[in-house]
Amino acid sequence: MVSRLLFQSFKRFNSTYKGPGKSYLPPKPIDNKPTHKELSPAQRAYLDRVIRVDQAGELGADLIYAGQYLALSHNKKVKPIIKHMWEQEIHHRKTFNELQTQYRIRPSILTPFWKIGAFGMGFATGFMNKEAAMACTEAVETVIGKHYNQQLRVLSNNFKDIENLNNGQNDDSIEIQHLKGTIKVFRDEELEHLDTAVQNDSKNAKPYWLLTESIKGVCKTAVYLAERI
Amino acid sequence: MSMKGMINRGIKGIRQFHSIYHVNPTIIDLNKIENQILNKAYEEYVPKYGFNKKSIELASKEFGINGGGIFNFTSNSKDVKMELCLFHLKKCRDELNKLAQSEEFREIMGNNNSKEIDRLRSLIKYRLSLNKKIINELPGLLGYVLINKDRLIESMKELHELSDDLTYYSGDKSNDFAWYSKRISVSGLIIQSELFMINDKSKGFEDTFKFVDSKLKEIETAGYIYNSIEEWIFFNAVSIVNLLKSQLSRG
Repeated sequence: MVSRLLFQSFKRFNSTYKGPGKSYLPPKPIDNKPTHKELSPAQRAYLDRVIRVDQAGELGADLIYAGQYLALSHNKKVKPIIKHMWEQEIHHRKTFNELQTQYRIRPSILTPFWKIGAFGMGFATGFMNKEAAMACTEAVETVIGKHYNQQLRVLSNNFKDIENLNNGQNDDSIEIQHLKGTIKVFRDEELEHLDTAVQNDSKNAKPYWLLTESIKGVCKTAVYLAERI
Repeated sequence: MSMKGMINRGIKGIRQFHSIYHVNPTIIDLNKIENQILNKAYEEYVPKYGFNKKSIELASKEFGINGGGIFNFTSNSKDVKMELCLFHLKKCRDELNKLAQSEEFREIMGNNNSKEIDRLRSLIKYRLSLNKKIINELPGLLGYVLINKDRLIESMKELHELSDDLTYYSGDKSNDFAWYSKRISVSGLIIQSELFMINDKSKGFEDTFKFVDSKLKEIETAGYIYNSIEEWIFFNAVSIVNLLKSQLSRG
């Protein structure tokens, strides 16, 4: 009985569990034939980075909320708010995991550190109090939102020169469209989390400035590293 | 060469972003004259003369080019023998790619009963059996590509590409550090098996394939142990926190 209860409580945190969900990938092309010309090495290198860093970021986000949930799940008011955001992050993480394996991207080699660091950061801020947890969310989502916007800018500006093999015109392949669409939706959801955090008194956290600025610094460093290694 | 230069050269050319909707770069581009020469040398002269300058020179002659001078401009190594050795490795990778694209292989992939490790096993054995036709030249080839620092970088890059292909075709879906451990284990396994193969006198290289089986079993066990430990630690950490919280809330 006790062990079953423990197992259930564990299951709730086992957010990497892959259920029989729908596909997170763009549809396969007809006859598996390519529709567009080759991407340039720079474009491929960029997509490589984008998916690696986004996967690492969503892994981090998932585990931050897991840590906060573990620390704050006794609070009846905060529990459903964190749970809702956490579930969205799980979806984001699964999507980028699928994209990473589909496009054969190397995951960040620092993944074990991201796991420990993110869970630790979520748990530590949640353990301080609810406001600190929300300030952590605010800082993280600010950095992520900006970063997603930057990626969208590059994806819409620097991928215009690829010829469609069917009609000879330059346009985005379904792959690029799907990636842009995914990032757009995720960015909006991350910014929604930012609003949620502000509405739930993130500004009352003490020390607010130190907490948010140091977490922002950590996030920016992590982004820089996850893009590269 | 500086450390940074070495790393750059090592990383440059490693496959990035395998596209589904875009044309992907080919492993061997046979439109290029240097690859045509290498292909001719590999198919016609290597069985007779081995991985040597002579094979390249004879092949070049047929294209009306004197010697292997063209490789000074087309290759990193500027070394015709090295290019010929690398060509063998790339050619084998190309064969693997063709196998993975074939209908039969896709059927096996679609079949839920086949396990990833079994697919990996048969792919590795297929790759090793591609060495059969050059088995007499294999010791020389391995010695040559592994012995010098610059050549080692090039051949390690190729080895990484091979182990990446093998794990991908076998249906690998790892998202974290397991991605690296799998590929490193496969790379190690390939090198060990090829060294084993050199001295293997058994019929049809049965002993080499037995060696692969036992090594793969070790890798599988190691992965299982790692995952179990990670799960156990996480389970206990969460339980302890929940236990503490329940005790504290009782006051």
